[in-house]
Amino acid sequence: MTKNKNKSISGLVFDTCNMIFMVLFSFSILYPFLYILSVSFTDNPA
Amino acid sequence: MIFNISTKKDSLDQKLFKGGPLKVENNIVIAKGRLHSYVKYKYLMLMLLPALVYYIVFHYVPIYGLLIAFKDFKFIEGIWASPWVGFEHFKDLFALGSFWEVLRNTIIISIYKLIWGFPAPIILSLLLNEIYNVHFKKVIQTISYLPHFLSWVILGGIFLQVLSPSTGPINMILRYFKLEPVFFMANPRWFRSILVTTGIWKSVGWGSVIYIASLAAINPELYEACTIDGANRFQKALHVSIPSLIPVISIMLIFAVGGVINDDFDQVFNMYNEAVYKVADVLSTYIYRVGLESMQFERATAVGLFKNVIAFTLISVANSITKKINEYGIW
Repeated sequence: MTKNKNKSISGLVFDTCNMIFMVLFSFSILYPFLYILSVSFTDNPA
Repeated sequence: MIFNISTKKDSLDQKLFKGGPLKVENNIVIAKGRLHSYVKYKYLMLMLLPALVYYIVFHYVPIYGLLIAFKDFKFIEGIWASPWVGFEHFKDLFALGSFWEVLRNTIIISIYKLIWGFPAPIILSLLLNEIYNVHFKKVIQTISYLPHFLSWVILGGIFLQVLSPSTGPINMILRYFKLEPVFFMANPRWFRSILVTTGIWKSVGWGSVIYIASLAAINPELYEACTIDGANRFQKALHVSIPSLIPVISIMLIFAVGGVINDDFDQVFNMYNEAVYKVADVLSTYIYRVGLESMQFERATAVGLFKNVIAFTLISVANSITKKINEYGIW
């Protein structure tokens, strides 16, 4: 999409929410891998 | 391709040469049609050859094995020499209560996946399309593709750990809030939700690729025209981005509906256990257990054929409906 330089307040709010959502989404994708990686370095009782 | 006009001109059926008109030169008819384009694009055709061979060897030749479903199959006699039994195996199969339970599970899990899993990549691609920071967008896309490249064998093990009632982080959170831990992987109430969620988690990023490509192909002038008309970002997405995705969505929906009966064997097989058989046993796992573990090849083939007939019917119906609604179809 072409960049709109004149951003409205609602546009800025949307961008912020979108960015937060994307960070959380990435974290949810990576978390199982990070968890397995971390337990593989520690004394995993499971 | 060249034909002598004196003998074949009248009998030539122009429908044979859909690719282009017939050209007459010195009493000779030259068909500039499909065959002509095959010769013209011979190197592309050569590149197509391995895929064609793959489909013939691994998808068309094994169709012969479907005969087992109609025979009293004996290893020593082979497929052709084994005696015919007609629809006997199908009758036995439909009389089994377990078959209908498995079919019900397959359809329920697939419909859940269709309802929740089909819109997920579309929403993700639309949200990614709204990100202006190219580096941030690329990082998110790369992360979202990651699970696609890992097999369910690995992911099944990972989720067994993550959802473990004793050491899993989800249950640790539940315990922190003084809630009872849940053995998600062995709880029939939770298992289908786990299948759907992990399925979306694995495929959402990779599934969004096709939609991102379609969004990238939209003419920027359309957005500029919208800006001049005073449209905001939501209106641009609603009137430009989403309508541009409709052809791709239609085709993907046809495939998704056709695949309702085709469950994800790898996922279910690597995640299920006897405690959840009642809600998780699907057609492919049933075929595996009946066909390979119990050596009942006739019954397993009958289930497979039944599944394929249903899938073909579903895909045909979905294609006709989609074509009637928005003129886009796969044939």
